Amino acid sequence: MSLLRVSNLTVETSLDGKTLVDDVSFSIEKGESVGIVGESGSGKSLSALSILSLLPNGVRKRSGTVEFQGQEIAAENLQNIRGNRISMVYQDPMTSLNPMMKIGRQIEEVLEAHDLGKDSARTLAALESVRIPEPEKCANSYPHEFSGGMRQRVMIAIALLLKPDLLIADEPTTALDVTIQRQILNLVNEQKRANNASILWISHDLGVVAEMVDKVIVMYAGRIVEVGTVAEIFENPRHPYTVGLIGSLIKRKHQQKMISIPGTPPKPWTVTGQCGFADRCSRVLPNCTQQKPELVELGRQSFACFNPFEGGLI
Amino acid sequence: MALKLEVTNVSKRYVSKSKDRTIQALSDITFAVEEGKILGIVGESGCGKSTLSRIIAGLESPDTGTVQVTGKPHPVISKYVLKNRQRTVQLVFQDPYSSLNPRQPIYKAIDEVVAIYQPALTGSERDERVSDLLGRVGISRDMSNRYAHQFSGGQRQRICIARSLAANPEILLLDEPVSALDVSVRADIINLLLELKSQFNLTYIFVSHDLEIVKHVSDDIMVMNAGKIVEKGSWNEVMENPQDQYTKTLIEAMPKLSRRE
Repeated sequence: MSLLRVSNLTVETSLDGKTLVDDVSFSIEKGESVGIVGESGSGKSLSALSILSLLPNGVRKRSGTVEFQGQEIAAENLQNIRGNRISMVYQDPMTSLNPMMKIGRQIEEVLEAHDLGKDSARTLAALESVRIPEPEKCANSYPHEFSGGMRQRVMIAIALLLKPDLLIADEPTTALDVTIQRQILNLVNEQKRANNASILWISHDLGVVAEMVDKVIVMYAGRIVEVGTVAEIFENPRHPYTVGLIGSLIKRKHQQKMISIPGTPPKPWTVTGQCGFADRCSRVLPNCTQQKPELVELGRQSFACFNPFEGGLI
Repeated sequence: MALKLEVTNVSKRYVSKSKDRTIQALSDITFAVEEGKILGIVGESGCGKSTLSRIIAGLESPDTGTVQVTGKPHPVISKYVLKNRQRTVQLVFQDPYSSLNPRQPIYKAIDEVVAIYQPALTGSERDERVSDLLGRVGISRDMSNRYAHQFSGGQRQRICIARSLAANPEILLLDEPVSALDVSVRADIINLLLELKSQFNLTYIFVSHDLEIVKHVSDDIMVMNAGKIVEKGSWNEVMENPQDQYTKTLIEAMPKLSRRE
């Protein structure tokens, strides 16, 4: 039994039913780290937010189920799972902390919400675990008194407070400088190991994903186009989109033309009855514009493509 | 080869509104760029790279030191001289959407720059010039009566590049030109920039926090930290054999596709 299983998830705009995420299914095992990579508008964040029913206003789930330890996540058990068994860290640590509330209080609030009472020793231990110097002083400060990296540490402390089974990290280092990013990546890895937690890591940065996860899900225009282990995705990509992305990163000569993908990604709802990548693809076949390719499993890799690369090209 | 840009002993200090704090944004910056070369400037937020670009572009004046473009001191731009002077340094910013007027068709955005810098052109000559500039960046003439919001991020950055080229610049100051773009579009814009550089015989200053991209495009790399240059040298020296501790930390911190624990 998988720790988390998302089946046939479809997300749409509430107002006019435009498809944003189209029939996405994936699973996460206990202790496994999974990454979702994609560009803005690919549906990676919406897929992650759907897990905990945190979709923003104006967007709703059309169909699909999310099962946690074999049990469907629904309104009745959501409060027992959210923040407790599954927690989240967001991109911008400034907007996810309350600017009017001291940090210690914000941590205690989480404990209180889960009926664990006011426990200042636990609060300080949480701050200490993410290596914040002088935890007492930190607990007594407001978010604006800290740098972005420190605030993100606080967010991670809150997310890991109740030792969740799954941590969903939505671009947690995108707003940070590289050296701070390095500290946060190391910290998350360390905490993951200490708690044997699973991680769902959402990012557009393939380099970060390659370091953080075991399995990569590549999303494009609202659909999953390829799934595989890090080694397979990076050394043996099959979908032309993945090949283009990775090619531009690793196959380049100084000041020479980089491998690029012409054009821009389409809006997911404009793609009907064809492959979303067909218009930008160099390997397009007549079939590609007539039907949607389904995700086909081949060994430990899956891809949705009628004319995949044979592999080993990069 | 001739020096295109010389920055000598430039310092800049900002004083807070309440006058109780000063920030030394730049201290004693000296470097030069040869004609036709690409200088990459890397550093984290607050290192002074944006202040430096603003000073080079003439949007801000240094407290001490000089900026010389092709041997001529580069004057601070005042409203009065702006219209009449051919600007040799043009900027391309990170966010192409906020650099375009949302109420103006993009044709107009480029046309007005051409009109300022080449007032002698007739209407049809100007039209030809605008079409040519758009063509060079891969935007078709039929799309030119559209507004900025009708274009994708990559196309908007192409338009911003065309607009900066309309002034016939010699130096393009690229301030994080691909950071706001989708990953699959970045390579396309980098390819375009490299192509235009040789077409127009330009010199680039490429400011970015992304070491991978800087490594790919630059001839020379300059690393900045806390308002100072901590290291500069040719791209392969800096990237492969960094001398300064901060540069080493920066390179070490970079996520690498090949590095797995």
